[in-house]
Amino acid sequence: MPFDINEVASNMLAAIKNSVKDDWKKVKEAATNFLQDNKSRLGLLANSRLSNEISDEDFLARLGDEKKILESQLHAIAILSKVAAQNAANAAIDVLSAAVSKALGIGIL
Amino acid sequence: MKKPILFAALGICVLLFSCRVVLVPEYSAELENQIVQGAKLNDRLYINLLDANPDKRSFQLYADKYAEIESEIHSILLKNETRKKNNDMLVIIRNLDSVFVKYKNHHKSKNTLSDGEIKLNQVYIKDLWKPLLIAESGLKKAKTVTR
Repeated sequence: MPFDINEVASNMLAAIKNSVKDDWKKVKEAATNFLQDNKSRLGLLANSRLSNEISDEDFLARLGDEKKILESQLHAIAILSKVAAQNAANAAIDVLSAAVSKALGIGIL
Repeated sequence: MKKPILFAALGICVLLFSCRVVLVPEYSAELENQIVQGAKLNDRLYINLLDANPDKRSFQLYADKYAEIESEIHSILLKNETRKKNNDMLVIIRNLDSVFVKYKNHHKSKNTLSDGEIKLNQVYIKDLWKPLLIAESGLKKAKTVTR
């Protein structure tokens, strides 16, 4: 079965989009950027093996490195997503605090 | 009768005003700068290796540069270990550290590197620094406590 990097990259992007749901707009740029990097790196890896610049052993070891890169990218996206969630939660708390202050007739602390 | 109600209301206020949701570490400009400098040093190592003739690529000629970069990565790791909500950051840094050390040990045992290996190392390491920089820069967008 042929390996189509464009299709794989597109599916990876869809998986991330589905996972972060409402935060997609905030992580879209980073996720798209990462997947472009992944495509070009995987292309370089394939060409390096095909032109015998690296051995089979090195090629297989690099696939292990791919896993670490992907893991790091997903953790970076998780941080961006958490920043968005933190801001949203604190904005909601601010509204509640202001409403309670107003009801009690005191200024916001 | 009014006093207990007032105290309860004030208690709720104190609770609300002190309650902030924290899911990520605080942004650090110092760490962001250290990440940029570390990535730059690492890139320069591979540029220098590529520029050198293959017979001038013995590990000992580059051992100091490897040590300098590795100590930068360890310093970034140490600073992150003292931060709150650091789980995601620690995974990213440990992945960078483990791959960097693996490439260093490969160079050390082989005592040279081919052009192809250097080019791949350069790209793989850059793509391990990048999530770290994006993550730290992303923390800038976290709204800090305003009062």
